[in-house]
Amino acid sequence: MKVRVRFTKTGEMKYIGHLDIMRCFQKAIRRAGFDIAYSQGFNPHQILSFASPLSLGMESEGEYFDAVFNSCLSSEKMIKKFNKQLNDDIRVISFRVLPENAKTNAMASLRACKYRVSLSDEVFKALCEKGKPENLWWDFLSQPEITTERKTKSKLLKADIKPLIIGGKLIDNAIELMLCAGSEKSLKPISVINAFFESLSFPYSGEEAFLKGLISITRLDQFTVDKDSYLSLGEVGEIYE
Amino acid sequence: MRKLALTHEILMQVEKPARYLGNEINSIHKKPTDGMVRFAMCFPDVYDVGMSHLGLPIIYDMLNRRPDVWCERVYSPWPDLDKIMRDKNIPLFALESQDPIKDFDFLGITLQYEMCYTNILQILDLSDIPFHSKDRKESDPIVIGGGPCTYNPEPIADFFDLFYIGEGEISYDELIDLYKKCKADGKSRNEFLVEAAKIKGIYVPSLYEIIYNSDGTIRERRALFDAPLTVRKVIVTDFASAPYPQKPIIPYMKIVQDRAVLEIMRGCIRGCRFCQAGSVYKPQREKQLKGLLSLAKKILDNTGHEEICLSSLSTSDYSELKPLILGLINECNKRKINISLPSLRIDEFSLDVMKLLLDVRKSSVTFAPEAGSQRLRNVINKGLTEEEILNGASKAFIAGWNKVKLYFMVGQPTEDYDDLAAITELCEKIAMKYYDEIPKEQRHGKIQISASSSFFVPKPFTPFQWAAMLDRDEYLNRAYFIKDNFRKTLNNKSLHYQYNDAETSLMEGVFARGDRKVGTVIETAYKNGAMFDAWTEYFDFDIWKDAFDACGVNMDFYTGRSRSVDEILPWDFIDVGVSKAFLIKEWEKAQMAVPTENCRNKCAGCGAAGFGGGICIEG
Repeated sequence: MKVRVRFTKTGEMKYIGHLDIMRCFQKAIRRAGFDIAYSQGFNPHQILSFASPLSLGMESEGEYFDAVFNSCLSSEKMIKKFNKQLNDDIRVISFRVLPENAKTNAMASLRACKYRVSLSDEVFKALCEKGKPENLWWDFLSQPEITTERKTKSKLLKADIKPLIIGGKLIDNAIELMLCAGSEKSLKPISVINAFFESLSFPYSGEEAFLKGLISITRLDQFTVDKDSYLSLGEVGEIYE
Repeated sequence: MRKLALTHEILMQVEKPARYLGNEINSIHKKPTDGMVRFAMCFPDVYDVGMSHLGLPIIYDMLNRRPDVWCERVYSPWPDLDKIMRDKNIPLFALESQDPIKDFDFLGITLQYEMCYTNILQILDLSDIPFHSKDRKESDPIVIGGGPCTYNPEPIADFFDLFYIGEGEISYDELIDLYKKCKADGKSRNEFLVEAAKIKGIYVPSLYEIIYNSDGTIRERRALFDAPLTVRKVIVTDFASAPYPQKPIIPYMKIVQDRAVLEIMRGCIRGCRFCQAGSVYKPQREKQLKGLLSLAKKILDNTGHEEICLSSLSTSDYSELKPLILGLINECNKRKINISLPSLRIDEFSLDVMKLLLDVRKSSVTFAPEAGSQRLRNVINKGLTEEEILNGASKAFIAGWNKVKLYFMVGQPTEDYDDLAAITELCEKIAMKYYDEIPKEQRHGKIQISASSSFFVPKPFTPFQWAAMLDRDEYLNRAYFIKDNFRKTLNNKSLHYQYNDAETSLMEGVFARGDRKVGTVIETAYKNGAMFDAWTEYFDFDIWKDAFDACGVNMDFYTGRSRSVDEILPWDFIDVGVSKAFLIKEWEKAQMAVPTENCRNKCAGCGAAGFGGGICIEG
């Protein structure tokens, strides 16, 4: 049976990289004694696939992986057993069984991610000095094009990121972003903040602000598309009774 | 979220921040209470290396069983963080509590290899603890050294308040109880140290005065304050029931040895004359089969590791190896867990097992003859004959292997160019065996033999402790000679040879048999930038050469000189149980290329029977 697990990653765990989180779950699954399926071959490994890596330093309320289990207990019991093996900063919050005929996994079906970018007092104050924050954000977002520059080894690449921004709003001192994600087109929240801060002529880029802890970023959830609307990856499949 | 010692900004700047969090599953967090003894256990290398070591978790587990002690871990910050901590004046902290090391009661440093010596100073420096024991104040932690390098602690004697000589399981309780009592009685640091020197296995270097002859050798060691003239190592005699961690810490990040480790045996029955471990861990003691199998299960249940590794000096000598491995295979197959078996002698059984565990096409079989000729193998008492090697290789070829690894040492006592030529000859014979015995249609391609040699370093408490080490040029001449011989072989496309660099081994040679005069060199080199010397990318021989010059200390005095058996050696005050008379006898037998039987075949009377445990008693 194919299952989908949703977990959160907060606090100190934001400094643990994606590959290490994968290993952490592989070990937790062994400790819990779950009946997970293994690949064939000389070095069998657990059949696990994660929806998308989260950048180091970001927290998340919606991380996902799919796995194949030979058998399992009810969703409620599985969540409890998982959490017994994890710490307070990494919690499983949903366990669902995917339909037998599910063709795509979390990674392949991913279309969008939602983020919350929290501005520190220092950044928010700087923003207020430039004008009314809601207006500044609205002006930024309603530009016909939002171009960013990216340096590669040999040249400067310009791109319009606006088509990749599905939505964005500023509420108090936080910006909520809905961005395209997945293998075809994908946008990082930092790119949006870089462009926003540049439009305001801030002395630091979004990237620098993030590294210095002037802004913090939380991934709120990840989505696929179902009948022309966005559906949380965690709402696919059924709770197992 | 608990308060971290490093800010978000710093954690985002350094490579692998997971090294500095201390929040791993199974790490032990306690609530500090009044009078709780705070113990920081340090492996003076980066987390990835230090966390792979078995000894430290044993002590971590043992000390934390006491409710009145909180033992935490600390490792060397990697150079990226090291620089930030110096720039920003951030004190070194223990991982679990994130509290500064300076506020601890004890700082224990495990000394696993000589090339970590400058990292001891890094740890002290970043903790803001004075380098020298004599300069420390009442509030500084008591700095303890332990581990194999303490069998000659003299080069680093000034940096430690005390050394623990022997196995950690024995004297820590007494030491901590004494510390608590001294503290309650309002005794000073020095009063505590004088008392501590009376505990078995504890060596307090500041209580001794060394008087040298004009030629630099030792004339006399004087004990002050009634400190004992010799310090006898302490060991676990009832090894089968010694405590062992069942819930080892599970690191988040990938470390060097990322697996469950099962210690099956301590000590070794073999008497290889170059081997310090074989000597200082005597007598050989085994864990019982039944206990090991249930322990393996528990560790796997508690860690979820996907590999388990057997740990000992010579796995093949474990008396119940067959049922142990079969039992493990049975358990691990169910759980899809790999078993890693280091240092197995190649025979039918081990090949059968390896065939089950490894991909024959990709893996290799390994031999450690250490010397090319039978004569030299007799000198070093390596009980492995050419016939055994060729038979083993032949069986491996029939079983499908075509990759062979061989380990040698260059520069052992009495070695001549015939012995070196024999290295190539042995490798050629193995290659011929393959082509002679395996029909063309059954071969999986060419044979691949890779031989490597290291530069022999004489170590204390071995029969070779009196031997001279080669100088750099002669070592390289010998390595080139072997390399050349490999080039001239018939099968030169299939035979590969590589050798270790000379400089690191020379430094090891100085530290291994150094005296207290070497301490100033270590300090000078550290101040001039030497750190992480065990890492080739950081080791800088020029810094060391300059430091020796600046301190007026001659490297060759320690490495290039053969000692007379009458000389007082810097480590003579330590009693490892193996008697000096025995070592002298072995040194003489070595010169005559006469081997000595292993402990299981016949007791050679080394003296370790005095501990009253292990193979000496059980036979």
